[in-house]
Amino acid sequence: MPRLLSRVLLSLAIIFIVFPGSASAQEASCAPDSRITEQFDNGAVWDLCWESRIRENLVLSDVHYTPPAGEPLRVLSSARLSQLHVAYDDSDVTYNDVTQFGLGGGFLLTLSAEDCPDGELLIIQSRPALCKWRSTAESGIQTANQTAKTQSLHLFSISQVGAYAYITSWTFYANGAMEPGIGATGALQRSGDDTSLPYGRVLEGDPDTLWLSHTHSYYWRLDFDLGDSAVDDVFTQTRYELTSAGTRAQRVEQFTTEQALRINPTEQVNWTIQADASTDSPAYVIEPIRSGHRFQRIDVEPHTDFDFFVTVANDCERFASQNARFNPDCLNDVLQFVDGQSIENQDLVVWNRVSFHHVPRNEDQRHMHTHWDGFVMKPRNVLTGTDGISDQANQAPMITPLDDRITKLDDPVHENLTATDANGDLILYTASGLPSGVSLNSQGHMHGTTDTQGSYSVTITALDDQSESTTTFQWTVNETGVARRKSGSTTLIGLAFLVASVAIRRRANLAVIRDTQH
Amino acid sequence: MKNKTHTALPAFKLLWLTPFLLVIVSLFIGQSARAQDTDCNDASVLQHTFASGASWSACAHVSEVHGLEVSHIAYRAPGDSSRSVMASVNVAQILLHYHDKANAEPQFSPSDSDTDDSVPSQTLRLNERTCDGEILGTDAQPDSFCSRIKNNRILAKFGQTPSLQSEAWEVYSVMLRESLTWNISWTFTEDGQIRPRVSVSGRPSRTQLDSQFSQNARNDIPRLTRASVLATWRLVPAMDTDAPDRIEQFDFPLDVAQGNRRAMQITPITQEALLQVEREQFRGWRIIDTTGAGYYMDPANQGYSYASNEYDWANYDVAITRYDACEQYASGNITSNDNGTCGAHLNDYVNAESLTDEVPVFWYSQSRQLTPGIEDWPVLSDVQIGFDLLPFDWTATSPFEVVE
Repeated sequence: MPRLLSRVLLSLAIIFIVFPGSASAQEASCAPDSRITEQFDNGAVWDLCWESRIRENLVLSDVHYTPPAGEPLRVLSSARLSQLHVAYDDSDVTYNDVTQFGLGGGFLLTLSAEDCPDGELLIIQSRPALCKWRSTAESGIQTANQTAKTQSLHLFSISQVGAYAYITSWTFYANGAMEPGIGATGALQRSGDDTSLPYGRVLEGDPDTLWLSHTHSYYWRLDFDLGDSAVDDVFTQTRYELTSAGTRAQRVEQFTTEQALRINPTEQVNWTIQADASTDSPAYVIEPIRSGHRFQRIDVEPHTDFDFFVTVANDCERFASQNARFNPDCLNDVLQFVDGQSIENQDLVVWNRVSFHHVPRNEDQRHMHTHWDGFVMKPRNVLTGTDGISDQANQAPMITPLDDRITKLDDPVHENLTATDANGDLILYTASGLPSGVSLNSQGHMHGTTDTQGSYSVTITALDDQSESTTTFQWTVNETGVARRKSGSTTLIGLAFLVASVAIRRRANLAVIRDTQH
Repeated sequence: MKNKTHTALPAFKLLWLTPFLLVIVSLFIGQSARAQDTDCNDASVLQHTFASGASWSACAHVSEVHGLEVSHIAYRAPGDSSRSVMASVNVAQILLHYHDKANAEPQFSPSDSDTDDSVPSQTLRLNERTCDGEILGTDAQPDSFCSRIKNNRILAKFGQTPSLQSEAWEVYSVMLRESLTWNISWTFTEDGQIRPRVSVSGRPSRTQLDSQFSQNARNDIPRLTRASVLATWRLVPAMDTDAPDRIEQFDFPLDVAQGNRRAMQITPITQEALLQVEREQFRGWRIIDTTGAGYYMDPANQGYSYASNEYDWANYDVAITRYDACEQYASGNITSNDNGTCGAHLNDYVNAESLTDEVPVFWYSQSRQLTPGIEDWPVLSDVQIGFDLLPFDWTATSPFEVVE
């Protein structure tokens, strides 16, 4: 037995040496007071470790998500804000707040119950400085029968850097989405005496001061380790290319080397990190929605020409800019980190920038109202269906079958379709194949005027929140509204065939019920 | 800050109270406020006061076809009087453009009447399962919109002084079209912001075999067709005084030769125009009263660009037109009125007419994508489209001072 045990341990040691990046889908491993495990009403669990560092402040690690009735999924090895770049419009001063000052240590504010009214205060270096609270999010689902908002876990701390107070925030949703954010509040930082300059605004009651406009660029560093292995994640860029016909065709590009990329609103580009190369593996999608401001100052800071970066994980690469300030043997900024390395079978890190241009207004005196920035990472292939609805018991609606019909061209149509639902759900109706000029509204009113002759195969679907039933029938529109005769009289054989075909069609017209639950 | 009151009553039920209300209002705040003495006609009178004393008042009406429309919007900052902000706001069109189709499907269909039952979209009658707040409506449209109070998180924080927390008030209606739901929402924050939002959810029902245009959500269901959504809002400002408002375009172009400086350029919009967001220039727009009080529209979360072969106006982000009561919708507009004919769509409204001393109308569009995956079956996780209108020199300082 001892020999067997030693062989097993040796095998495990070999596996660990051969596959140093492998990470099993286990729970977060850290001291109990640095670990947060949050279970939601839907059964989903977020589990993570946290710490506060002098520069970055909140650093999350070993982030796992367990979907409702699912297995834990390792999502992130680590996640943090990696720079807070502030450039003033007069270009005289630029701050890199994370590396020049820091968001942790002495810059971290002690929080009180008023700062965290509905949550729990956690201790950072012997003082309450992290707020953890639960809420109902603004996102969810809306059907004809219910409104359901997903639950969310919020973590935030606040750092006072100069006049600004920055709220570093992370939100984890019960449906698997994640949202890093920054709230900027406090007071305006920089001003000038020359009020004639066009780089800011003079605010009411302070005629001799020009408060300077400026851009905040927030950079997040996200070390994804999706799934069981840290080294098989795949990064793709998806474009939706506009064709001359007016359609949009999806184009997916899998990258094999490190990348620096720009937001591309025209081609509706988004970015995906997948657990492995299979298209149905768990993934997270980032849609660059906050695309209204693009900061760039390429000649002095070339990295500002890009919004999104993918690099191979390297502990030496901590900050998006001024990285060498604390790591003299390392490269200095995120664009330099993109140096052509292969990202195949490597541990991937993505860096995402969001920018906001702040034009001072009277209301910024004396203290600014919080301005929030951030982005959402949406899960894909992580849940088994819509959160909050796919696990509910449900019976499909029953639609009343419709007979084949022949109607006259230009005849008006007004008909209310009917269906029943054992759960009492409101039923919605859709149709395909209706004659030209006729439409069906969502509550089952079929209406219009047939304007084109023809034979139409019509499918009507009645849906509740989870399932549906369909009925099909043949609708002929002609000039007379009666069946055409091919010859002067119907023969007995022909009549028999007609009766048989009608019987067969009637049988086919029985409603088909499909329960889309699983 | 917890809510104190929020009420909604059909306007006619309050008419007998009007003289008394006016006296009370004038006694307490010393100034008349336009929204409070405005007859909402058939719309509901809405009002909400936050614990800070900030309040909003408005009229709300749900069009069967176009969802929630809000008018006579007035905001009172703490310590301030109630002042008019918007004459009316509405969603002017939603284009749903399935990626396998050449053209978009306007979700607001042409109609000569809101009560015409031939239109394929309807307003959902709300109940306790579809409204987690107070269910409101009018006699004509009972249970047609929902009012609720939301946490608006930290309003302001400075140093070790306690945070100021805040709330927001949301009203929304839900429109059904085919199997999709369109939530049309207006949020009014305690600090004076207006947040229009459209979100789409419901059952995805369009399918397509070609993977260029469709998504494989699950192997046991057909591939679901992707789509782009373009939401267009129409804002008719009525800032502060009765004088017509102006609209200014703010640009901050990068001047590399000047050491990467960005000089602020303010361009008054003096005639009707179709305009674009310019990301590199941080372009934004201010609606401003003659007093200097105004609101700023920063397209920070502009999302994706939309392109249309069919609707030229949809290729632009912003349109500014001269107010015309019959120009209500970006497309599918009612094309006739008592005075003659109205345009059918936004392009018809932009005729380079002068905006001098005229009431301007601000039209703004944003685009998002629907890419239904497994998490969207059987119901789409909602996709939200929206923006913030920020008070900009509305008050001389923040009316919510952090106490030091």
